This record gives sequence, C-alpha cells and structure tokens, in this order.
Amino acid sequence: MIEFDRSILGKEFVLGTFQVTEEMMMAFAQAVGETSPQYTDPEGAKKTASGGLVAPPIFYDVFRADQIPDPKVKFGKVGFNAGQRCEFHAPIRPGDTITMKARITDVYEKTGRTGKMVFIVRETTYENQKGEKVAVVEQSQVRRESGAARE
Amino acid sequence: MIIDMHVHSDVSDDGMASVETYMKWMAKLRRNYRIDGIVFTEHRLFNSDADYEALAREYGMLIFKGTEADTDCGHVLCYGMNGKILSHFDLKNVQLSGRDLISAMEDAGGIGIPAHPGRRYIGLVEHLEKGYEIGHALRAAEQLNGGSSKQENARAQQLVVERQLFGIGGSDAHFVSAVGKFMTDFKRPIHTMQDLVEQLYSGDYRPITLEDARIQA
Amino acid sequence: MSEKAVYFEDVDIGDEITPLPMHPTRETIAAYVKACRITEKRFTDEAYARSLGMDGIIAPGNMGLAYLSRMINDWAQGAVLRKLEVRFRGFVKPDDHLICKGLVVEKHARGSENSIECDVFIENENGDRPVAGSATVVLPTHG
Repeated sequence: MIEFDRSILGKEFVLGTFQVTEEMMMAFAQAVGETSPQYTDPEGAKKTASGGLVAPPIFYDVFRADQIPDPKVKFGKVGFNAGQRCEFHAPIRPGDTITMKARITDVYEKTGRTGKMVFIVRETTYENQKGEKVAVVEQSQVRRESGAARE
Repeated sequence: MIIDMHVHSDVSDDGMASVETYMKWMAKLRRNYRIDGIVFTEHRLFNSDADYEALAREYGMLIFKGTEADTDCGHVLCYGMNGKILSHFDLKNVQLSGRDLISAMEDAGGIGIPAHPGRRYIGLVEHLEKGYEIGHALRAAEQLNGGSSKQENARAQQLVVERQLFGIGGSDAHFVSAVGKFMTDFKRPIHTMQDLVEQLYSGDYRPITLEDARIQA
Repeated sequence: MSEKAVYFEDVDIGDEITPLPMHPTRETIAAYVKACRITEKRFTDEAYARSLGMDGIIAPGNMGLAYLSRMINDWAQGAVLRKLEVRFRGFVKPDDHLICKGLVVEKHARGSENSIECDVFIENENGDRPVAGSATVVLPTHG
C-alpha cells in the first residue's frame, strides 16, 4: 500500500486570489502565438462573440500558488505531469479577480513500462469575483519508482 | 465474428471517451469494415454497475465488460469477471499474483489472458525470462496489441509460438480513433460473455488487423 | 486563422481539424514561462532538467494544451472550448518539430449547446504522440 497523508484527501484549500490585467492576458496570448482578435485586440475583440477581450482557455496556468496541497507520498523522488482534464466555464476578462481552490482527490498505484508508478490527482477550481466557475482543472502527477523521467 | 478485445473507455483513469462515443465511431467504421463487438477492459476495476445492453441493441453490436488487471507478471485481460473473483482479488493492488489470477479465472468460468506480453515490465515475457512460474492455466496471450511497438508485438508472437498458446488481437485504444487497429476474428458466432469465454478456450480464432476486416466490394 | 465560422450542422464525424504546427524554441518556452510566472526550473535550467533524468529542458504541459486550444480556435471561429483532457506520454522539447492534429469523433445536439468531441494529438516527426487526448467544443448553429 502507498504511504501518504490520507487526512488530506478531499480537503479543500484556498490557494490565493489574483487580479487579472489586460497585459497579463495579452502576454499569455502572445506567448502561444494566438492571432484571434478576441484574445489579442481589445478594440477588435468588441466585434467578436465575446463582446470584448477574453483570455484563452489555458490562461488558468498564470495563477500560481506558493503552497499546494501535498499528500506527502512516500514514493519516487520527483513528479511529472501525467495528464489533465480541464473544463472551461465563464471566460476571463480584464479586471477579473480569480480565486483558486484545490483539493487532492485521489492517490493510486499503477504499473507501466518503467515499473510501478503512483499518481496524485489534484483538482483545482478557479472562480471569478461573481462566484462563477471559470475553470476546473484536474491534474495527475506521476511519481516513478525507478526515478525514470518517462515511459 | 470480429471483436476488438481490448479497449478503455473514460471509466479507465486514462481513457478519453464514453462507451457511447465509441459506439458512434464504430457505427461509422462498420460501413467499411466488419466489426461485431467490443470489450471494455478497464484498468484495475470491473464496472459491475454499468449496463450496456440498451446501447448494444441500439447499435446492433456486442458490448462486453472486462478488466485489465495489474499483476506481478504484467497486465492480464480478464473476460468473464464475476463476484467470486472480485471478492478474492483487490484489483487496486498492482502486485496481484498473475498466476493465481489466471488460475482463479479459469476455475470461476472466465479466462485471464496476458496483455501486451512483449512490453517491458508490464508484459509476461520479461517475467518468464526471469523465472516466473506462470502455472498450468495459461492458454492464450494478446499477440497483437495496438499500443505496442513492432518489436513488442514480435516478442508477443514469439511467446505464442514457443508456448503454443492461442493469440488474440486488441487495439488497446484509449481514445476513439484508435479502436479496431487490431482485433480478433472468431470462427463461430458469439452472443454472450459465456460464448466468448468458451470460444477463447477453443482456440478457433486469430488476431487480425483493421485492414483484414475491410469489407470487399 | 480561419475567417469562417464552422457550424455544427456542417461538421461530420471523421472530419479533420486544420492541423497547427508547433515548433517550440528555447525562446518561446521562456516567453511562456515568463507569461505564466512559472518558477519550476525544469523548463529553463538545462543542468537541473538533466539532474531529473531528462535530456534537457522541456516545455510545460500546459503550453501543449494552449496550442491544442489554439488549433481548435483557429479552425473554427466562434468555437467555444468546453473540455480538454490529455495524457502526457512524452516530453515536448525545444527544437521539436511537432504538429497539432484533431479528428471529429462525436456530435451532441443538445439544443442550447451543440457540441462536437474531437480526438486531439500533438505528434512528432516519428509519428509518436507525446500529447494525446480529447476536446469537447461548442459550435454555433445556422439557425
């Protein structure tokens, strides 16, 4: 059985609150080569279905927490991102305040070509100042016994 | 009858699509390829509560439920799961005895078939080479797996030949467009899981590619 | 970027999404890392990345997701991404020549939100797919 801090399972932690600026949104859009006016042109965006500048869906990645819930899994030395399930709801607009909450929803074992692995699943919810869900991101971190970086 | 014996729906932790989404895709595939059924072999669990009867009727195809278990000699595909097996084996335990599981499946009226035997660590071949005692219940192995490399499938084929096993084919699809890559062509009709298990023990089948299943004009 | 809207009624199961090339460089990875205020060193520090067992720095997983999202939005003006899920089976590295691809596998006509499901991939020159998954996209209707 995997050794970890089971008391943390399901417990919700508020990780922080973040101000969204037009500059942050456009820097992100530019970094991934977006050309769509809804993401890159505040004036042009007014003529799109969004009615104004909105952030690309993966913009949630700019919100960083100093501390994230840690189940203290006693296995492997380093974690890698194994996968994500993202749901997108209300768009993010300049001036929004986003609150980030997270909880560890699962810790489980699996075997693969590099041997035994432990997966830590963390669900992060992003909400805006109106209490609307903006995004829900479930991320799986994998830790490998062999310390190998990949399959 | 042609059946994809190894598919993962979103019930598996790393599966991407629902059973219904798979069925819609297969309905389209069937215009050009013969495919009669599919087995959802979910990772480390058996989806007891799911009932795919209505979907199977709607799409005119067989939909079976199975399991892909993690064991101490690699992954094992289980067909004919039942309460007896589930109460004896904790499928979340990735170090289950593969030998005991395969033997117990036979005793309980099902069959355990090593998945992708040619893969490192999670394939049977490597464990046999290290001296693993598989026991007497081993009858078949997954000779063609859609997620394995050519070398991995070649090692699986070698196992089948050396141990005179029966060979099945499965796509190991985790998303819809990968389904059907490899399948199993059974000589006799299959209607129930019991029929499938009987046929698996009979050996009257062979692994095939999607192209083998193309409907000739 | 597509000038046309893609309408739900006009899409068929089996349709391909316009592929989007992805050629990450050290510079574009650094720009993404900066825009996201990422402090994790595996994306910027070669020696650190190697100490973790990799050949060198890698691109953040979310950068791949951002390209897949862009692929969908570039293909269909008016598309709204509702869900995106992927598994990372390999790394995206600087100077990789990759291509984002997608294939429509399902349509859901649901009155207010008509959506399609697509298998999506980021594929390298060897045909391997370090990133593979599924997207659910809401499309506008003619009516």
